[in-house]
Amino acid sequence: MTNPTSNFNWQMPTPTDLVTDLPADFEVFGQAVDTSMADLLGGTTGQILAKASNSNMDFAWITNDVGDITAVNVTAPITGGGSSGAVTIGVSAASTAAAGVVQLSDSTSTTSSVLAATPTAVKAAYDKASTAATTSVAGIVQLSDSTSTTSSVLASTPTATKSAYDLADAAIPKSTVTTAGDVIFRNATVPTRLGIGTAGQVLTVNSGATAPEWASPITGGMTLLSTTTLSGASTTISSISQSYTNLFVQVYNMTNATADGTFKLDINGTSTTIYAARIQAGTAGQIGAGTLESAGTLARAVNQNAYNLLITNYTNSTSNTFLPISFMGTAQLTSTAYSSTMINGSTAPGGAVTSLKFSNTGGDFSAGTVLVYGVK
Amino acid sequence: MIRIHNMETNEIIDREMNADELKQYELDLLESAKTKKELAAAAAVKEALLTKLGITADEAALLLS
Repeated sequence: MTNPTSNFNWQMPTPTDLVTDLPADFEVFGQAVDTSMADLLGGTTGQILAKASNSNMDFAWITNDVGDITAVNVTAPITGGGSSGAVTIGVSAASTAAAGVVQLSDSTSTTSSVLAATPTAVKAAYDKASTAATTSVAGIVQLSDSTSTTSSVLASTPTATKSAYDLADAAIPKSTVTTAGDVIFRNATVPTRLGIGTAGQVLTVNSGATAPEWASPITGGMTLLSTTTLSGASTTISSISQSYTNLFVQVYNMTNATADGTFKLDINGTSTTIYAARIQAGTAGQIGAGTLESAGTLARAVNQNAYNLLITNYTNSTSNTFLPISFMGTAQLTSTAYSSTMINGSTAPGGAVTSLKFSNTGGDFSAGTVLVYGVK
Repeated sequence: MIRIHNMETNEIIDREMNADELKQYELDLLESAKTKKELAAAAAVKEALLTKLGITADEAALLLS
């Protein structure tokens, strides 16, 4: 028996099968029909058959939802609808003003207001936003209150900015000074400029003691012109500066290499005439000419001595002009005796004083210092 | 040897004395020695007189005051 039906493939007897085989063949046929129709069994009133799967003859009884569609009404963003015939519905495109369907986009550069970003675009933006900022790449930054850091990757907070602003606000403006040599001082209320003075001026306080000002310096005082160590049979200081009014000379701590002797001081050599009153060792008298001398002979090896000479108006070069002089000092003669010298008078050196000669009648100097000061 | 200090240039020169300077120097030494000798002689005369009078120098000064 190999005679299937056209649609269900149920097996039927062939026309040539023996009659004796029919009961068996009919049993096979009937059973196949029974199996195929199994899903049609059951169900309840009102139910309808529905396909349970895509397989042939696979059905299930389901509830029949009874009702008639009389109209399809829509609201935005759904469009279309109707109450008769074929009904078409759609969805409108979304905008910033209305909901709707949107087109996705991977772009991270479009400025569209009707596209929706895909995760790809969002990730690209996220990665971009997650990048730390540098001076060459935009990115996220850490804030800092510091006003001393030199970092190039931190961003200042308003706190730090305010601190810097407050300092700058309290600072003296650069524009306060405008010219080379300007100095800044505070007047009664604010920092202010004092322009540079003229050459040689010095900074002093004004008469009201309220502000500094430039003024010409008060002239005068002594200037050390030279320091000379005495040596040899004589020591001469020559080419004395003529830039001062008076000459003041100090000689001290002299010793002699050979013998006790009288200390001598000649102005412009040995020919200068000196007219003076002398007081020495308790006696008084006059000298008419020659050299300024110590009273008595100085102990050769004892440096306890000091003499001063003051010559007034020493640059006067007029012949026969008398220049006031004062020569005084004290020296140790022996271990117990001292001699003082005081000579006051004038000298006529025949011109400006340009040299001073120091000597000792005992022989060569072995020590001694001469300081020459110019006095304005 | 003498020393010359030029204040303008601050140069210090130590040199031997020339003939004139040496002559003056020796004269000064002789004068100094002579003066010392005279002072010593005067002191000796003074001391002898005080001895002769039997008084001291302070007592002599008191008499002259």
